[in-house]
Amino acid sequence: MNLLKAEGLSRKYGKTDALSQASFVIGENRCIALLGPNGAGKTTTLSLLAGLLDPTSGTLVMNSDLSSDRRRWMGFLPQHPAFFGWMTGFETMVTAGRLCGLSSKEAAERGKELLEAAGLKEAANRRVSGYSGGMKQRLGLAQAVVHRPRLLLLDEPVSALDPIGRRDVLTMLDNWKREMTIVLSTHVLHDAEQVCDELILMNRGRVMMQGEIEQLRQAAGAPYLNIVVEEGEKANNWLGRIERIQGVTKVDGGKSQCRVHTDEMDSVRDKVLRSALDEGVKLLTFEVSRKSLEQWFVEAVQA
Amino acid sequence: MSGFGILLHKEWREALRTAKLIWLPAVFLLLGFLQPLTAKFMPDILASAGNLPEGTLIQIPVPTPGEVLGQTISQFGTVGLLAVCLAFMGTIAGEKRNGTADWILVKPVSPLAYVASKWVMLCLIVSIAFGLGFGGSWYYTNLLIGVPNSGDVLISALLYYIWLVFIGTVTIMTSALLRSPAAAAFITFGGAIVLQLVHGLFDNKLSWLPSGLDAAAISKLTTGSSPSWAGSAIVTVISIATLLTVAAKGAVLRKKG
Amino acid sequence: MDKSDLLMILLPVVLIQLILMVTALTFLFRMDSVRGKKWVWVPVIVLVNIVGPILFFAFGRKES
Repeated sequence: MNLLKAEGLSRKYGKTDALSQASFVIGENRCIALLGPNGAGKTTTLSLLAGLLDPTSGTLVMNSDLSSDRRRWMGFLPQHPAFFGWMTGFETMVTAGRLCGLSSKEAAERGKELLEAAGLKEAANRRVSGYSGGMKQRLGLAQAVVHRPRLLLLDEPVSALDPIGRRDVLTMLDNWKREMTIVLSTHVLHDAEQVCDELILMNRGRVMMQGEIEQLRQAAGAPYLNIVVEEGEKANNWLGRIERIQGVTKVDGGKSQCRVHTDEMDSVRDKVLRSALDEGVKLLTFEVSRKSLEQWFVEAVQA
Repeated sequence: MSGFGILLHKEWREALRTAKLIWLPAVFLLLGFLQPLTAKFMPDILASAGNLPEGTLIQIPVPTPGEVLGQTISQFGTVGLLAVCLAFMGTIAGEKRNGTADWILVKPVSPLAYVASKWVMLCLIVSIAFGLGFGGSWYYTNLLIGVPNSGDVLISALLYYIWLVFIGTVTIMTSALLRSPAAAAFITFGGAIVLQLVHGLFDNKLSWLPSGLDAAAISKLTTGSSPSWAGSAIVTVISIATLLTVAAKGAVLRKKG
Repeated sequence: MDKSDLLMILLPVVLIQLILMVTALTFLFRMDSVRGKKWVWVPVIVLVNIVGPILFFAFGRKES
């Protein structure tokens, strides 16, 4: 079951297209990363989903089983979360909960529970104006899920944090993704890979592709054999002969190392290894590699 | 109107913690006290300050109690009005600028409830500030000058209160439409001054302007009678409703960014 | 009117002046950051009657 579906979503600011013809699907109980460089349209997409912006054209189709006011089942955390500095952390949670329709008792219980989960128990009764950036980010996450949303939208939730803050937030998200769908934007592939199962790649206001991270990793490039040998005449001769092994399609070679491309990795890997042993070649590296998702991301964005 | 009660509670706590509920009434109280005091002691002050030749008679006509209260309202019309504009200038513009408006509006809250919570708090704070200030002025006038006609005082107070709420409502609207709180305050304050001037200049033709309420309140006190203010009152009430609707539309309006 | 009466009449005025000033100063000193320099606001609040504190409350505070 899908939570929502975007069809041809576009948004203009004056004459510039912040987002054009974006179509994607948001399923249930998964973590989806909107990945792309700065200016790709990630924030615009999230603002459209959260209802802070109206699309210039295109439609958002919601799951018809859910309330027509999608703010009731959505939580949102902007890139720079803002709070009322004169409220305490606990008051912020209660106000957020009450505005989302919880009773005052529920809001207080939820607030307490989530502040504890966010590591803000001691700071609960201090004013938010005295919170550090990391504390504000965690408070932002906690208040965004106070009403147990089905969909949580996060704009660059970790990019402004130090490594420890980053780890804390990613751990919180990892715990939540079983209960709700999380859509987060990021320009760091590594962050996306850590918690997300799905990627929506964006560039210059367009959705380049959507898919499961694992599948994308598979599709990023066919595997190849990466071989490095200890230098020597014997080894160099051997490298020159790899091409003749049955099943090898291409060898990119250099001095004392090469990349072996093939369509039958399983059989070719055995043959190459056996031949190396037979000829007494001293191997330094013998591995099956793939073009990394990182390389693929960079290529896709630069294309 | 979902969320109205909670937002009103938030506005109330904010007014308390940012001291708006202290400083705005204090300003009106001071303005209210000063007028009857000046009226009473001005002759003495002049007498002691000036090196006047022996036997000079200072003849300043002692104002009537009604006139003193009328002058109080004139005072409210400058510094008091500016204070109201400044107190409410950031109510939406500031929240939009620092992102807290988004924090509220991504939750299931209607924009009208958001604006209405601010308007109700405006009415409340202005009634406290103006009530105390004008009440204080009335009390001091009784004590120092004489007793004005209570009926006239109460009617003037009501008319002037509506005028203040009107200006406060304009502030809320400009605050919803403009990015800068200061611009919202000064455009509103300037507009109020222009309204008062225009009404003074074209009294017979434009008596229906909201500023007619301000003029009627003063003339009721100073002369005991006032031109018809029914037209102004109707126009003002309709304007307030319109301004709030515009403000609700403006509150969700977002510029590039 | 004798002097004690006059005092009773002026007392509330002085009191409210003080409340306004002290409230503004308390906020000034408790705040982490204000617009402009902190000490510049002190004479504004103390010396500019009524309008000084208004200006501070309106413009002195940074939005957090």
